[in-house]
Parts: sequence; C-alpha cells; structure tokens
Amino acid sequence: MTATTRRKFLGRFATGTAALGAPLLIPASALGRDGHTAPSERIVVGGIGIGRRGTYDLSCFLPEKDVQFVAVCDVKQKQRQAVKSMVDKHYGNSDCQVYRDLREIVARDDLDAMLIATGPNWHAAATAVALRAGKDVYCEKPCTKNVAESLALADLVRRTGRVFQAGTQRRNLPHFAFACELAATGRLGKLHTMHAHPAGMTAKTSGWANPEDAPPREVVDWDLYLGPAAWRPFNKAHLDGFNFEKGGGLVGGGVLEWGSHCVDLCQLANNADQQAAVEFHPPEDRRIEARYANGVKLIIREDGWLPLGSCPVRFEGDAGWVEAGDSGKLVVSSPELIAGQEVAEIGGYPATFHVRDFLDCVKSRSKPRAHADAMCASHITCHAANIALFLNRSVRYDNQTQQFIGDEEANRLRSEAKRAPWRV
Amino acid sequence: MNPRACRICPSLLLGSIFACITLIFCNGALAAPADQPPPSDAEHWRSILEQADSPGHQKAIACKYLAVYGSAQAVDPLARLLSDPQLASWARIALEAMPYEEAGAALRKAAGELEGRELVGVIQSLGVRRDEQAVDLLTRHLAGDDAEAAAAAAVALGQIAAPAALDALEAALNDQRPEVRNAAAEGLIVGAEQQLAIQDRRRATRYYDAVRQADVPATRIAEATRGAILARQAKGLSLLLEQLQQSDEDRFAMALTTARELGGTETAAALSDQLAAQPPHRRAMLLFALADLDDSTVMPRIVKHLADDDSRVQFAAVRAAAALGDEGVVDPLLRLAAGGDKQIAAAALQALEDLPGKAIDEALLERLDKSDATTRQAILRLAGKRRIHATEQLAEAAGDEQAEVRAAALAALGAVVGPAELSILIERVVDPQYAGDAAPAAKALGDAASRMPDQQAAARAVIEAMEGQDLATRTALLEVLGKIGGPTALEALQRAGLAGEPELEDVVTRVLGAWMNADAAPALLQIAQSANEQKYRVRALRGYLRIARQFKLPVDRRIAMAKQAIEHAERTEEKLLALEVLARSPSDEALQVLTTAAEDPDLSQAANEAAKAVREKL
Repeated sequence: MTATTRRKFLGRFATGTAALGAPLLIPASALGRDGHTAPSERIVVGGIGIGRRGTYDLSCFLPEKDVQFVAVCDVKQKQRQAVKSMVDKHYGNSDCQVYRDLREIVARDDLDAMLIATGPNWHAAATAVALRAGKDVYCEKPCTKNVAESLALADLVRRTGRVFQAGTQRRNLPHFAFACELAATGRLGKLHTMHAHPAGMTAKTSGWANPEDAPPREVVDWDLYLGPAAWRPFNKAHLDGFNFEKGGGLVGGGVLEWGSHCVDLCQLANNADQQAAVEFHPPEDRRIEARYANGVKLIIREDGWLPLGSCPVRFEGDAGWVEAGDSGKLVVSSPELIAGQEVAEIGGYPATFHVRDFLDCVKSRSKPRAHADAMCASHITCHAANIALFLNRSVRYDNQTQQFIGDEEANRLRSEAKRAPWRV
Repeated sequence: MNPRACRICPSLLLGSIFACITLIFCNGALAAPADQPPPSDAEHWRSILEQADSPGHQKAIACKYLAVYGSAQAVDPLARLLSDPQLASWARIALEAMPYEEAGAALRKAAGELEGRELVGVIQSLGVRRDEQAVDLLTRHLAGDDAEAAAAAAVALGQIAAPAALDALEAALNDQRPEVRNAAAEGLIVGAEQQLAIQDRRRATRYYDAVRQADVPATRIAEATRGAILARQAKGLSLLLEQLQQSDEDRFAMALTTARELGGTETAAALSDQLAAQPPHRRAMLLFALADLDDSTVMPRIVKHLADDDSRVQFAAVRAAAALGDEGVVDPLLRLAAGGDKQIAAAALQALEDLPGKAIDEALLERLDKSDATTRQAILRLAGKRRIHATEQLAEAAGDEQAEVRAAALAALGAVVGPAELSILIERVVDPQYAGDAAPAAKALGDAASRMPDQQAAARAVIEAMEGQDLATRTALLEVLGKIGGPTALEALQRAGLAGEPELEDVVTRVLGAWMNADAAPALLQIAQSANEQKYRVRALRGYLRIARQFKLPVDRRIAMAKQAIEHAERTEEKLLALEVLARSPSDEALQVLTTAAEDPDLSQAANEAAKAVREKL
C-alpha cells in the first residue's frame, strides 16, 4: 500500500487503460471484433434478475457488436417477458429464451458470460452458481452481504479461473480513475486521508412481513425469490429486489450502498485492492473513521462535499488533494496536478466503459478493473464499518486471519448461514 | 398473526442515531423502540424461543440476535427449530455463527436425524464450521441415497479438509451419480486448496490429479488443472504448456489465467515461445498475458509483434510494450502513433505516455526535428502529457509551418511553462504569428496561468496584457482570468462585466457562473442589476442563485441571497429558484420571506410548498 508508479497503476488493469480521456479499451478490431464479428467470436451472454438497474446494464451490453444476448432468467414472469421483449426488439427476432430457475439458464453450454443484476440478496449466490457452471460474470453491486461471503466469492473466482467484474463502474470513469491515480502514484505527496460518501448509515433487514396469498409459481417463484435468505411468508412488499435483504444480516446495507462505490475508489487510491481497512470507529458527527494498515485514514461521511454530484470521494496527501463526483468533474488543490492532461468529463456515471472492460477481459482473460479481489477488500471495509456501526464500538480487522481481533460479537457478524441449498 | 407491522429500532437503545437497524416484523402491537429489549439481551431472545406460542416472526428475530449475542444455553431451543421448514434457516443463522461446541453437536445430531432440505442446510453449516467431528457422519451421507444431501456432504467434507474427509471424496469420484461426482470433485478441489495453504503440495497435487482423471464436468477438470499446475510450482510449466497447445479454447484460456497466477521469468518465456505457433487471436491473448506477467526479458519477442500482420496482435503488443518496454520501443511506437489505424495509433500514443523515465523524454525530443509533421505533432502532444520541460524546443515548434504542429506545441507549452515563461504564451495570444493560433494560445495560457504558484501575479500579468487590446483579445484573456481564479481576477472580471459591452457581459457572466467559490456572488448580483442585455442579467442572477444553492454558506446568508434574488429577478423562473433555496434553509426568517412571497399569485403555490418543507425541517 505504498505509492506505485503510473505504469504499474495503469498496468494493473486488464487493458492498461488510460486513466485520462475516454478509456482506451481493446479496439473493435482486436480479438476478433471488427464490427462484423463472426458468430464464433461473439460473447454469448445471458442475464439473471434484470430489473431496473439490470435493464440499464443490459442497455450497455446490447450495443456491443461482439455480444449476443440470448437468454434471461427471472423469478418474476412479468420481468422476464419484459426483458425478452427488449432483447428481441433489439435483434429484430424472437430468439431470447426465458427461464425461471437460474440453474437452468447457467446449464446452457453456449453461454460465455452472465449479467447478474438481481437484488443484493442474490448477487453472491447467483454469481457462485454461474461461476461453478463455468461462466464469466458481471455482477451488480453490492456483491456481497457480509465479510465471509466476500472472501468466499473472491476465492471462488480464483478457483474457477473465471473473469469477474463487480458493477462498480466508477473505476472505469476517467475523472475518478485520474483522481485515484493522483493518490496512488504519490502525486498528492504522502497520502494521509481519504473521504467517501456512504449514502446513508442505516442498515435495513427486511424481516418477516404479513403473510399474503402467494401468486402461482410461474408468475412469481417465491421460493426462488427468497433464495439464500431465511424463509418468510410471501408478501408483495418484499418483492422490491433492490431493498430485499440488502444487508442480509443484522448489518449490511448502511455504508455499503454507496460505500461499494466510494470506499471502493478509496481502496484503489490507496493501492489497497488486496487489503481492507484494519480499524473502524463508530460514528461521531455523522462520520465513521477507519484506518488502513499503512496509516491512511478513511472518513466515511455524509456531508461537507464540494458540489460535484453524487458519490463523491476526496483524497488528501501532504502535497495536495483531489475531489471528484458524479458530475464528471474533479477539483484539485493545484492545477499543477492536471497540467498536460485532458481528463474527459463524463457525468452521469455510465457503465458503458465498465461493461466494455469486462467484455475485453472475457476475451483476454485479464482481470477487469473491478476484479474479485478488489471487490472483496472494498466490501469487507464497508461490512466492517457497518459492524462498528451496529456494535457502536471500535473494531479491528486482521487481513491475515480474516477475523476481527479479540471481538467475538464482531466475528459472529462476519457471516450468515444461507438457506439451503444455496451457498457461495 | 396480527397484521400490523412493528418497526424495531434497537440501535436507539444502543444510543446511536446512525446505527439504526430497521427491522420490519409482524407483531401484535406497534411497539415503540423503547419498549423493546436491547439486541444484546440474549436471555430475552432465548425465552422467546422457549415459549411454544411465540409467533414465527418473533422467533426469527430472536435467532438473528442470538447469532450475535446468544450463549450456549440458547443452543437447545435453536436446535429444536432445525426441523421446522419455516424456521430452520433462521436457527442455522445463529447456530452456524456460535463459537460453542454445543452448537456443533446440535448440528451433528440434526444431521443424523433430518432429511430433505433441512438436512442439506445443517450439512452446509457443518461445512462452514469446518467441524472435523462431523467427518464420519458426512461420509455416510456422501454414500447415502439422497443425492442432494450427498452432494452437500461432499462440499462440506472439502471445506473441513481433514485427511479422512479428502480420502472419502477421492473415493466418491467414482460414485455412480454424476451430481455426486461433480460435488466430490468440487470438495476435493476446495480441500486441495487448503493443503496448499499449509504447504502440503504433495497431497494437494494428488487430489488435483485425481479430479483431472475423473469423469466430471469440464469445468471441474479445468479448475483441477489450474490447481495441479500451481501446486507443482515451476514443475507445473510442462502441464501449463500442454494446456496452451490444446485446441480447446477454454483450456487455453484457463492456462493463461493460471500462467498469470504462476508468474516468473520461466512462465513468461514459455508463453512467449508459443507466440510463433499460435493463430492471431491466441497471439493477442498471449501478449496480454505477457503484459500482466510483468517480466521485461520477453520484450524482444513482443517488439516483433508491434509489426504483426494482424491488428489484434499489434494492439496487444502495444499494450505489452507499454507495460514492459523501455526507450527501445519508442521508434516502433512512434511509427504506429503516426500510422493510419486510429485505434492502434491511440494505443501507441497512450503507451508512449505511460512509459516511465527521463530516457524516454530524451528519446522523444531527439526525434522532434527529424520527424514528419504527424510524428512531430505526436511528440509534442507527448511532451505536454509527459511534462517534458523543454520550453525552447517547444517554443520553436510553436512557429512550425503546420498549424496542427503549432497547436500541439502551444498545448505542450501550456503544460510545461513556469512563471518566468508565461510571457511566451501571453505574447502568442496578443500578437499571434498566425491568426488561427490565438485560440490555442489562449487555451494554453489558461492552462499554464491557472497552475502558477502565485495566482495573483499570473492574473496581474494577464490583466496588464489586456490593456489596449481589441475586444476579441480581451474576451479571450477574460476567459483566462476565469481559469486562474482568485480576487485579482475576480475584480477584473467584475469591472469588465460592468463596462456596458454585451460581448464582455457574455463572457463574464459565463465565467462567474462557474466560479468555484462564493466570492463571485456580489459581482454577479451587481451585474444582474446592471447588465445591458436581459439575457445576461438573467444568467448573472442564475449564477448568483447557484452559489446560494450549491455552496456551504451560513443559513442567514443563504436566506439573504434568496431574498435579494427575489427582489431583483425580472422573471418568475428565477424567483422560483430562489424559493428552492429558501426551502433548503430551515429557519423562521426563511418562513417570513416565503410568507411574503406567497402573496404573489405566480409564486404562492411554490412558496407554500417550500414553507411546508421548512416547517417540517424545523
């Protein structure tokens, strides 16, 4: 977690993408993609749980000339039909196949990759099903519900040798990447403090709502909807996948909502893609303070940001600072820091580049920017912050033992049993 | 079950307003948070489980809290839920997390009694707990008739990874049932990983090899092959090469992933040996892998592929050269940067930008005068991006006969000049050698001036240069002042904005509208009242309101600004924006202003809504 060289910082990413300007990705001509891609060179993609966010993700996949999206799986009939219509309309045919059970879609031999955009409850478990079936995975964030799940998912990606991209697309946006580069390469001097926006410090557990008559399984498969979550009776209020069992256990949710973006960028800026923060304190003045092994402070705070849009981050070194947000703009302590550079200003946090990065890595077998280890470390930092929040006391995490130090209750919050037969 | 919902907020009891864990559980009454026992009251949660008539939702939340706070005394009531299809998963949440031997014993007992999904669940928990005492029991399930339980047992045995567990899995690779063989393979691979973690490479290799020989899906074979290569370390290279030579694309892909994990010079050499014999798409994949391997000894082979016939390979070679190259790749990359393939050219430029070291800077400058115009342009662009401080050469290039080269040189100067050299760019703005150079020179001047350590001195230099210049030049220099910022620039901009010239009002309102602190507010308000053209008065007022809306200001100042804006606004649109500012400023004073505003029929609805928002916040 010491400052790295620019080449090493950029080289860490699959295609050595430029942090400045529009990301430089593998061109259309590379790896068989020239706008007239032979069917044998197309990446055949299927989707699981393509709802509101997933539809946006899908809209980033469909225009890619080397993608053939062929199947969708959803426990909700209405949703799977809606996605089929969208895909069929795009291709001008009626070929998109629909599935209710994710085990059936991943059993298809012709699928190379899966887009997983279920609610957070299913992200890790569905990813695990796909990885075990030999598929590469683009998974929406937050990818995991607790510390143990983060570790298990990273292990599984490594074991299966598949390409995994977490849906933390800001890593592939030029201004955020440049801000991280300034910090990671020592241009800000010795990095000492990083700031991340959590978008809330309230964790939610969906609980057990009043029983209602369940629709037929073909309309909504409630058992599959629950998946790895503990059983509870059907209630349509739970069907909002975005919020259902977001945290999973007693913690989760909370700082993970935007933390999985903003804390993740801090990890990148601190060259900490393999290491979570090690010390976490409960909130004071709407700020949670954490610390990395190299002494760099992480402040997760709700307010006091420059007006640069949502999901802001700020990195401070002893020679300067940078702040960036979703407007696509960044502000630096001195223009000297951006002299000679043209940092493309791309607002609105599009996932286009991130999806392309994933597709390129499916072909090159490199690690995409939001690879599994990076996801694991940044999610653990968020989960650990939530545990400090829940226990309302300081906790310390050991990256070697993957345990909290001398805190049984914190360790008991590391994981949560999954309803059988689901697992990561 | 009572249909009313109960919101429980235990964190309030913990005394933290932020740690509010919202649980929505059915309950008999809408209980206030204060009525709830604290999450840590393990005895209370245990008693809920002990009461036969406790509703399911209460037992569920009790399990959640017992997972964190429950003592060994909670094990028995939790274990009784393991056979309940609705509550078994909740009970496992607690039992799986508890560090007590009693919890393991309860799960083992249940694994001997249950069947179906509940059995699978407790088997999974035993695996997560890595319960070595469960090995015999799980081995029996592995051979049992229930294939789903057998598969779960296989994975659990792999997680436990005791020698007896792994031996059982090895035997199960011959099970008649494909799903059990598949799970046994997965378990064995997981177990082999644990052998690797404790440095027992011999055993790990044995298990990986066993899976490779088994009748299991190709995905398991691939995973085992990866493991077998890594477990053998350098001796695994031959197996790696075997995979690279397979026609099966999945095995080739897996080999490249594994090569990255294996690392080392020998691996890089082995991969580069493959370059000549593989088809283009595989050559490209190999080159990407070589780039990731970070071993520069293979650079000579990579360089050859910078001139590969296939653009896919060329592109990958460029990326590899960027990752591993030195000054030896400058010439081939410059050729590509000036070439006809736009994507390769962009990649080559990027590579030249990424290559580290002064030797690269020198190599580029050496080639500046000897190159064609396209290459000169590329070198100049790189000089700016790499911040090569070669002002003299760059200034000379700014007089090049080609406009594109001059523009590139000016941009580079903008990136590299110091305070003493600012005049070079000022001169090119006020007295350009070619008329078309004024705009790129002004942009470069803005870039340079805004990064000067003494911004006030830079602003003064620009202001002095404005004296006696024509309108177009003054306009361009005002834009430069906008980039510099600070009080000196602001004062000059304000003066220009009040000078009564529409062109200046245009540029000043634009620049001040994007000012990065609240200091521009008085100037904007003044211009909003006095600009000649209404559109600039409107723009100035909107800029003023942007400051009130976006910057962190004391509430009373924000309200005063909104009040001023309402007073001076000529149109309803801006008055409505001012009401939005008030809506975000909870105070009695804001309410007073809103009450007054509500008397205006055009504003009454918005003012009342804003007042409501303020009252709610108050």
